Amino acid sequence: MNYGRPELLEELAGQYVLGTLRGAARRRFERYYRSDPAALQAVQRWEDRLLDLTVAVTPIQPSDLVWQRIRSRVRGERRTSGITRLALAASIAALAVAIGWWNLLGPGSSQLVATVADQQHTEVWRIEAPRSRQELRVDATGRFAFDSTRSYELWALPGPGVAPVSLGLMPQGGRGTLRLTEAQRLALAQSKQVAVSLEPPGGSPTGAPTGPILFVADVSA
Amino acid sequence: MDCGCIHLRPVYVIDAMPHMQAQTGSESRGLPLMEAAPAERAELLLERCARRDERALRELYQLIAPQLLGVLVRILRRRAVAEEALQDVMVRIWERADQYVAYRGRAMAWMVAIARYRAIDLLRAQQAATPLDDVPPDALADRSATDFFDSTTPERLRKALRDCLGLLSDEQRRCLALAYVDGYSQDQIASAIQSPLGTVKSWMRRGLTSLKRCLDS
Repeated sequence: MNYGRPELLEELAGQYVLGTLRGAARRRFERYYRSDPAALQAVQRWEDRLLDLTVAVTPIQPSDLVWQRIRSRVRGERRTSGITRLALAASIAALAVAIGWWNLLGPGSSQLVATVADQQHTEVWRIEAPRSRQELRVDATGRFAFDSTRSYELWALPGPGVAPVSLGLMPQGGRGTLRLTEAQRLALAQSKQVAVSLEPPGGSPTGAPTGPILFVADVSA
Repeated sequence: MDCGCIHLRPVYVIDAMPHMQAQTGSESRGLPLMEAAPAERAELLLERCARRDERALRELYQLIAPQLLGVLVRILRRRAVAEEALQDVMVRIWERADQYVAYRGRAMAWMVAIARYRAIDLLRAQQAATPLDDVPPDALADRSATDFFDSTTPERLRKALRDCLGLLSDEQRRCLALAYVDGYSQDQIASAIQSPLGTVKSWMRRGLTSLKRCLDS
């Protein structure tokens, strides 16, 4: 859908906030507005406009258990984030698996080149490269609970002392295509590892990973 | 009701679904939105949460949890499910407190949005299995009411909303309330008020448009 028309954008933002935009259209709009400043602003303004309709809602005191659970969840999260990013990356690196990465990619093959899996060996993404090697085709397996408010960005890690090179955003559902520029292909060819980091919607604003590294996979099998 | 604090039941609620009774008496001290300048408090607490101040989260919880649980129960209809959702919502607020800085709206709008979207997401899974209760009464029916309990909103804005809701037709207002407050889809609204889907859609579209025009003017 073309979200560019201002009236349409306003209406979709209103229906989104109201909750009547549902199903695939809701998810599509959600992905869109998080990366588009005008759409984001339209949504936020509707959230603020409609807030006062909550006057119709009777407050209810939660049971004590709710706070106890929140507190323990928050403390668990803090323990994790207290570990340095590097240590986290290293510990997850050991658990992520990459199967037969580039070297399967002989001339003429369009084979499975990598599988990114979590520590329970649940496949998260399958990455294939076609003959031309000008793009990566990434399938989200649908078995991983993504945080739909964030982006998952793929990086080539050319090695110590060389800055990671972004290869694009990983799909959270279905198939995505990451088109590679010559520079990206080169960086990938020089990399022994790739990584996926958690980023703000639309990807890292700085050109370098800003969020935690979630997955690291070896490029050479 | 006579706890010495100001405890007004929200005047627009004429709804008495049994599982949604508000707490009364001493327990209602947690009802925060009556305290001085709660809007500023919520913002300050969010800033402290962004700096990972766990105490601030506790205070924020006391300030907003009853309101958020009210919103969640209304949409999800089952208290146990709503309390689960409330945990998710508070954890999200905590995790994303640093993103509030960039938000163009009131702190409460940011937090209520997080709660409502969570509830709507959960509805998707739940609704297939759970038939809707009887259609709730019109949440916004009483337009003559002159007071709102929600002091997160300056009087000027509250009056604006009241005036603007007054400009909508009864049908438009009813559709917006069923969607926003009760989490109804357009199909469900159509069957709840026994009107054709196309008509409901156009009421909602026009309702939104005139609300926007009126509130922005």
